[in-house]
Amino acid sequence: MKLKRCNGLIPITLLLFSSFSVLAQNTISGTVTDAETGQPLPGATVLASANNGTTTDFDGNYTIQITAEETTLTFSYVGYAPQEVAVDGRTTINVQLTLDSSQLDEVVVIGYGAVKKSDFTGSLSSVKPEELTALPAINVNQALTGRAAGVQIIQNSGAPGANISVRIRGGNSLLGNNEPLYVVDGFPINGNPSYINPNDIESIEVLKDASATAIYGSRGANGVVMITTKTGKAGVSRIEFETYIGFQETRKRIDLLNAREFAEIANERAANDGQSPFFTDGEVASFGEGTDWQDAIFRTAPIQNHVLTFSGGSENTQYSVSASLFDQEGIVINSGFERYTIRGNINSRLNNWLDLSFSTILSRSDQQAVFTDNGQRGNSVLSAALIAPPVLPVFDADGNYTDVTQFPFSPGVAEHPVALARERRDDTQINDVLVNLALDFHLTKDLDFKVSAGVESRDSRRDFYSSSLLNATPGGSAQINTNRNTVLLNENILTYSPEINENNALTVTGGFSYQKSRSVGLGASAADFVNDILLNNNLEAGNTPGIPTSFVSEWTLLSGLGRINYDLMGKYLFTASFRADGSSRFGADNKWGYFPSAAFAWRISQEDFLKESASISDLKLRLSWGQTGSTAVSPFQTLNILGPATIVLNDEFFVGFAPGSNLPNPDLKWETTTQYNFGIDLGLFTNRLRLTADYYNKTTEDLLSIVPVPSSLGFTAVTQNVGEIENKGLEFTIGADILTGSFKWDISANLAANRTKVNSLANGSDVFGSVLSNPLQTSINIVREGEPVGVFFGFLEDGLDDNGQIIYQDLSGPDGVPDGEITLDDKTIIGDPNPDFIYGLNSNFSYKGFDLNLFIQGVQGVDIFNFNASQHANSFNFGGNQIDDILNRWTSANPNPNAPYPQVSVNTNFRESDRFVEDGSFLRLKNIRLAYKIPVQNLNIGLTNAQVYVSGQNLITITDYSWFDPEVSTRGGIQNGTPSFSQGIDQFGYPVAKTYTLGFRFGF
Amino acid sequence: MKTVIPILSLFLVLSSCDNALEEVPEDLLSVQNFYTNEADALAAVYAMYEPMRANNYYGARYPGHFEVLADYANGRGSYAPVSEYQGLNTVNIGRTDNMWALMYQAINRANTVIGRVPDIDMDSQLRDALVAEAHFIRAFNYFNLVRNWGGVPLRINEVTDVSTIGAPRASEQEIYDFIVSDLQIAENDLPAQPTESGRATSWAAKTLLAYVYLTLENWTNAASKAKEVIDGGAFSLVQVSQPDDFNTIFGPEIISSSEEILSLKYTRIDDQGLFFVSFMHNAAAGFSAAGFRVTLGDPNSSFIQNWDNQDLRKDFNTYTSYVDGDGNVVELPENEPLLFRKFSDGAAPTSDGHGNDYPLLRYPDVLLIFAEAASEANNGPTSEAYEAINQVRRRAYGLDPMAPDAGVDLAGLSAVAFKDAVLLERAHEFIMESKRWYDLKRTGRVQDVIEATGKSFSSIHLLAPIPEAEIQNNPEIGVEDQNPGY
Repeated sequence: MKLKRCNGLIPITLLLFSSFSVLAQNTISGTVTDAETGQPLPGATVLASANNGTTTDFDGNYTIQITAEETTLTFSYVGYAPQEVAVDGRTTINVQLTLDSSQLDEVVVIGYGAVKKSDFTGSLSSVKPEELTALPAINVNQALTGRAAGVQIIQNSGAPGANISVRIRGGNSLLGNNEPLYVVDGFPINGNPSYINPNDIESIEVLKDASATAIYGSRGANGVVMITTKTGKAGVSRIEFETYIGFQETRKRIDLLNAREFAEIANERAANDGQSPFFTDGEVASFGEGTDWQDAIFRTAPIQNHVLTFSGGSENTQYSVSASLFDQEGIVINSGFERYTIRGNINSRLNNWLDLSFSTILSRSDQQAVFTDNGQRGNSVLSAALIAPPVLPVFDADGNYTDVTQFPFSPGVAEHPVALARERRDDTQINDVLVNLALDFHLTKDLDFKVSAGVESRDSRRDFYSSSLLNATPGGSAQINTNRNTVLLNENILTYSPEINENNALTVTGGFSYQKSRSVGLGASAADFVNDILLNNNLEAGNTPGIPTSFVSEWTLLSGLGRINYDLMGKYLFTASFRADGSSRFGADNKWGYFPSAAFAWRISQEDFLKESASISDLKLRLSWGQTGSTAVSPFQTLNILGPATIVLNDEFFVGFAPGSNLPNPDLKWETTTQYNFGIDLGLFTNRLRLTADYYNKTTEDLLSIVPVPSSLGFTAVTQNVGEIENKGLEFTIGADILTGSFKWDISANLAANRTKVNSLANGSDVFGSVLSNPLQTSINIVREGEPVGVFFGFLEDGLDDNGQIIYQDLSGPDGVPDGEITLDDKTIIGDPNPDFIYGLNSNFSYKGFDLNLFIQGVQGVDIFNFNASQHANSFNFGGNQIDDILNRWTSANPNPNAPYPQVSVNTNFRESDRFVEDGSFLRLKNIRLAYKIPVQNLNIGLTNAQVYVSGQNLITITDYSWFDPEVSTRGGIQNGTPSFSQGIDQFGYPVAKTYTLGFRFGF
Repeated sequence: MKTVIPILSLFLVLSSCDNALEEVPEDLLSVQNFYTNEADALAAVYAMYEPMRANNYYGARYPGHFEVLADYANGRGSYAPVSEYQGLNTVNIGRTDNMWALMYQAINRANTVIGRVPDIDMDSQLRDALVAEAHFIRAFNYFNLVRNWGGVPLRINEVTDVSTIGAPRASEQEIYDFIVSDLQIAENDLPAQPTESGRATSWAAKTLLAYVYLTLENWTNAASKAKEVIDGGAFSLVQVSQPDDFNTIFGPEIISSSEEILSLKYTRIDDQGLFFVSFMHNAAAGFSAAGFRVTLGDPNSSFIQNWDNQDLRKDFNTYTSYVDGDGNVVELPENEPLLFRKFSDGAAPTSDGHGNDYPLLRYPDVLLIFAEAASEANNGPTSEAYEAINQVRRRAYGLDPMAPDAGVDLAGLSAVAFKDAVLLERAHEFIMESKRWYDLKRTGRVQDVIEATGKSFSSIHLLAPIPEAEIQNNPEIGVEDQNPGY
């Protein structure tokens, strides 16, 4: 009923027009600078009246036109004391603002509120908008890379629009997705905010410790990312246009055998296997370099982003609206991603007891996918390009796709790489809507009640058509899948903040929330088309319809929450919070979970003995404890459910019902993570040097996992609460303003080291990760007591035997001692995909209008399981092309037992061994950017500021990793909707590109 | 106003919370309210056949695996190591692991029927028949398990939770005893006529039981069970006069035939057809929707060389050239000169959309089981044994199966020569039907036959490895219980 009375769009439209209509009579200009350093203050607000104002440009300059009634100007800037200056008929007014120690702190957004950073008792990292937009980033997750201590961004795949994993302080869960909760303008959203353009973001706070996240209860265990979108400022109407265009290309290519070498190796295999040669001597002699199929699938691809933002408002109402377009073509042909976004928000004080805020984001994205990741033996574009025989041209004499499987050694599933990219349509279009309306009632002077209602809705449609030109779909195969997910949220929050006295401050927050998600899906397919012209646009044109599919899935979360903040004398800060969550996903006896937290902070710098210190400007110790949870199970896991099983009898379909391959478990309960945090914030020399350090220790109990069961049960897995995982680590953030004169230099750096360990598992049994593909159809990642999560499990090699075959080390046997046989007992830990530490370093130089930004980011001490080698350094086993390094192979003519590669033969067998484990550490120049502020204020063309920049991403990468790129984890993140702990596998991952960009920013 | 709205909204939230956390799936059925009537019982029975039709079982990779194990075929690509007889490599172990899982999935579904259907209030004769059908499916899958892995865990009850995770490897004898008792129930309670073609009958149970006895070298019982089926008169050989006539048995559009005892049924729809057809052919030949050429033959092998050209099955089952779209005859490439074509469907929509059914038991099985068992039981071929094998031979030569023909009929053979003749006849008759490897194994001839083709043979190859997932997660099975060589 409340909802119907409110209409947020009309005020936005009205404001857009009204804000330009101020009558001008007198022009005043000037510069706003810092009183202490003399540095200009860009973005400072200059107000003549509630309806007339402007902001300073990058050089602190402003120009404002005032009416006769407007006799004073008010200058304000975050962290500085505002100044009111009488105009007195002057046309130039220069103002120096001084730091206001009471406002020194920025205000940070936390769960169900906002606090001054100095009063905050928990652990968080703030990321500024200029960091988010320093380099082309498709979404928030990518923009966070390297920016916040303890936040690891794993680019699982380089494909445009591919999923990106975010790990805050390591992964707690095997089954949960380990992704943080994202809260957009107060709305805890369902997935990740892929529909938000990073340019629309005002600030991001990453909440890390339990005292900060426990208020989100069962969704807080993996950290919380608070996203605040841009809002308007009172009295300042602005139009901003930001744009960049760039191009991307591969960072490296794989050195493969050329045509002649390929033919020779093929013939060597035939000879070793007692077969007649595949190529005659004459053919071999006629082959030269042949085709590098990588050239056929990679390209130089454009990327662009354009954002137009309007903002402004009066004292009582502020607005910000923007429209943006992001368009990225992929470096693999026929791949790309496009997104259009319209966003708006409005905040209005309706009267002295009611505030209204309304925000909305509408987004449309269109992903054009090609199959690359986790391909095998040539069935994915990348795999096919590396498998394809270099002795063949891409197109035959008639211009048709060459038959790439024409040789007896060719893998049967291989496709023509170009055909696979071009002749298969795989488009996903997604419409996202996020709307939130909040009413804030000021019931009494001390008591506020905020009611909000929001909707998050996602409609997606995937169009798939595989042409008859592909081997796998000789008659063509078409599919359409649609999904709709709607989340409704209602929150009701009371905040009581009585004024007690100057030594005691109290804030009490409490409330209820109700969130419900419902997903429905529909899929249809058909095959056997007369031709490929209609693609999947007319399923009834297929001669054989497929069986349609549909699903419905739902969950509900019901919560009560409360928090007390108590500030004693500005020195001793206490926080306690509690949340009770009830989830529909759990068994009848385990529906409710309870998540408490407590924290204490001591602002030592406010004590008398430090207050006057010249060097120490800020010192705070923080201590916190709390529990958070993870739902971690999909709906209906606790129920014994039966799904349809279609069979054919006579020549008709009959439908049976049977349980699926997962055993149900009615006893599932919450995963609970208990976290301690100890932190210190230090500011030196009036905060020119800032240091934050945190130590944390997290223990997750009742760990949920899909546990394999003996397949003789007729099932392959069950979901269980299996054990306990521990994550502990250190995080450091340093910021320094090294030079503050006209030549400015500041740096910020962060470094985090996380150690994860599995403390216990049910019955001590190992848990295995996802099974890879041919020829290593086995789990590489393992979860084992006493080891980090997801370490690599396999054999150790010990050179080659007299036949050029790999010798595996006989480490053990049934009795725990070597038994002379190579069996599963001989497998051991052969690698660790968890990094020793991750780091980022950002450096900014500026001089006059020039600004040089360098951003270095890296991961150290991490292993990658290079599955690709099992296909391209595999003794020509499947007849796929090989890396040229395999020429250093064992041959009977040169039987070197230490040769890196065994005999070329179809019988040479590879097992999951340390051969495939590589060091994935890297240090990369993630971004370098040179910007110049064009002096436009005197040009009188309506521009208030203008900036141009050139930048390059990933231009330099230092790594020993042999394949395309070390930022890869093709089986991590979310796989087909299911979270996976199988990190660190590279199975034909779409490579991360390097990018060159040219950008402009204009303000009007 | 100022205070009324918030209070109202609180009431709204709280009053909407009743039962909010109760979970009711809308798109799936729950066990609690299933298995209550005849339709539910039938649904549970149909579900048993689903794993058997899967591409990782009879749909493709089971016949793929067993046909390249046969002496007349070589595996190509990732199947090549299977034909090297040196133990399975990881790729092919993955395939046998999947078969194991599907066999046990079918067994668990059969256990569900056996455990739950007897409590359903329905027509008792139909109820007994459905339970008997489950006994048949369970026995059928245990028979495949025991022949490939030896003694395996014996799961005889439906699994509903993790309380029964452990089970040791039973002995081969225990498994066989269990199979025989299951099939005895099945042959008693199953109907003679299937409700739909593709479901087990009492005749299928008797034929399978004859097979089990044959494998156990219980010749008397094998012969008498086979005789029961022959004397029942329910089946007859389909007569042919030219090679392509065999398509009236194996062709994509055939629903059933007079010699079909049990087949897994497939239809010309994507994902519901026989994928194995794609494994057999060269795509250009037009016999299939895709061509992975997994099962390669050799025209110079003694098997092909010695196969009488007058035998219509030879021309039907093998090809060295094909007619392309322009009507030209194209020879198969030099390196892959011969392929097999028992199953072909040029009109299939997709690679796994071939309409051909996959035969599990046919009347020639019965005749040849009888011929072999009767000869063994009597220390030499009886006239009935000759008649049984000769019926199969006459049909193969395009003659009336029931009319003796001196040109084709076998006569005057010793016991040993007769057995050789039966095994060769079985190879010709059942090529591509996943039976040759079992014949070689049960007769102890694998090593000799394989070595005769010029390959070396390791006895490791006789048994597949127990899946890793079983050893790692079944507390009653340890690494020491693994089959030799793995």
